[in-house]
Amino acid sequence: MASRSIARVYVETEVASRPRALEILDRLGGAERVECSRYTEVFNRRAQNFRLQKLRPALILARKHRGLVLPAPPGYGVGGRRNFYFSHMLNCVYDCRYCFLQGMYRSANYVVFVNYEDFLAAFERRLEEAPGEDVWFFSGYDCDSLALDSLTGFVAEFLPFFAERPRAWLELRTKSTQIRGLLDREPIPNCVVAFSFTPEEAHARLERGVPSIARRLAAMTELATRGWRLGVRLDPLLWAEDFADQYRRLLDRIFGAVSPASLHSVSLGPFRLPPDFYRRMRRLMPEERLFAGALETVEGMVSYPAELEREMTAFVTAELERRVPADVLFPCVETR
Amino acid sequence: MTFLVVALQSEARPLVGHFRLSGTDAPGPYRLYRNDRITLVVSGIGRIACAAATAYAFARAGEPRNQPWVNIGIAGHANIALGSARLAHRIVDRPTERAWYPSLVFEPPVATAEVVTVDRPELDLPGNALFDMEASAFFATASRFGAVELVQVLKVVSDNRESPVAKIDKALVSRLIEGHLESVAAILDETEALALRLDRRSPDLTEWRRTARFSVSQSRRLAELLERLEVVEKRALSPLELPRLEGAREILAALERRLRLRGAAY
Repeated sequence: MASRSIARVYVETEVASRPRALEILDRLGGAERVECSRYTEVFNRRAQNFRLQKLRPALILARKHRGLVLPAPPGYGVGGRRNFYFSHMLNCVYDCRYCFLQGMYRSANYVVFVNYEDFLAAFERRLEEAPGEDVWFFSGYDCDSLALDSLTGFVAEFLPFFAERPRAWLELRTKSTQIRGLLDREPIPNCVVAFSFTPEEAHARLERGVPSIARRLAAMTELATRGWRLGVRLDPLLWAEDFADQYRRLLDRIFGAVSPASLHSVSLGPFRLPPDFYRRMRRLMPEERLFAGALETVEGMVSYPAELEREMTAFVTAELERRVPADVLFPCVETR
Repeated sequence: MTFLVVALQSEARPLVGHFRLSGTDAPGPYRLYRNDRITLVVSGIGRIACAAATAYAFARAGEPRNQPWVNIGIAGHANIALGSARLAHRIVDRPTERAWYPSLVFEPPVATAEVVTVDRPELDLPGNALFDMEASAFFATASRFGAVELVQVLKVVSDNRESPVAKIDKALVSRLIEGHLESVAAILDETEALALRLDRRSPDLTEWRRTARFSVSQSRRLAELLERLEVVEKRALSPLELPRLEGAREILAALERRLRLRGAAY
């Protein structure tokens, strides 16, 4: 478990005596504790190196003061009209070469914002702004939603809010198989547990520490058996000479294991990075083939050449259309 | 090159012996010792002297980025036993109350602690911190020279409430540092291994510059394209491999075409 490798915890003085912070510290046992005034003193400072910090990330316990719930980017969503995202945590225990977090932050330390009740109050305000409407809250943008759940207790603390508010929808996006927090409670219909996949070849080459496809599918099957609604996220779509074969095999495996009845949504997303993220990632990993190849900057984003992106998106969409009902398919791609 | 910064000649002595460093003859404001692997500078006592000596050593070495920098010295603590060593996990500059948090991305060879840097010897030794007179200035300066994960501060306890600062003499200081040469060596091994991960040779543009005149931004683009092509083709490209081209713009366009043809596979 990733939390076992955490040797040092930085704690904001402001949250040091909060019960949730104390519980997390207790779960970490012998990790060394260092107090700080604000997490930004430790996290994302100039001259920090993400790849070096990734060798031994520390945990930072902090309070998030503002921007607790933010509007989701255009095109992000699975059918809802009002879409927001939130991050109770920054950074991820996994090490995916394509992950934009490496371009966004200089630090690989994990930040956990322990003021969960402030997130829930922010959700409540968003619901009040849209009486009678469904509102979506997406988790898993700046972190993996479940990978550190046994440490953070995120699921146990957040899900009761959604269980009592049927028009508040929650997406837990993850590559993790840490589903005990979900299995420990009754499923709620307005929560989607969305698993991300890339083909086996990309998983082996680019996703360090990520559970195997087989283990993720086993976790999905278990959740489905208990009545949880599932999502499949093919994001990012990664190109290879034989991408068609790779994705066909992946989709056969996923939809051979996951029954359409348990599916809430299937979406896909292209590989795109803001240019400054791309530059920083290439500097961090100059030897990485993914960033060295024929990428282009189009409309302010670094991505595969448009024809490759169109070809891949069209192929995977067509393959999905053969396998899943149209009403659960959300390609999430702005064509260009 | 690894850089060691110490305040006192008596701190330098055991390090010079252990790592077989030689004094340099060149005149200068600070005493320098070096070998092929290590440069050691003796700064003198205090924040200003330490910041200046750190910058001096960097400049004298040709401003090499992403090299290990380690400050080694004595410090006081209320009750930690004399001769115990601590690696800093928090450094506070008492005059300004600024704080730094060294990134410890390796298993520290000794326990870690907070180091508070003061301008006059701290006689009361309050709280649970070590007190020194250089660490904050060293860290603030050396962390401008590359990845902050390569900058570390190691302190050996020289005085506590039972053995006050007045008892410190040169021989004791040398003995205290001598007792932690293994810890110093371990920190150097770890930080040098980290530095190697950042060791990145830029493509050699000399031959390319003979074929055309590249502006600054074109040179940057040329270096990026050559670097990417080297990853994709698994070898360095020579200008002789391109068809005869006129001017920098044509060369860059040819390299871009070549990269496109190599595809986008991971």
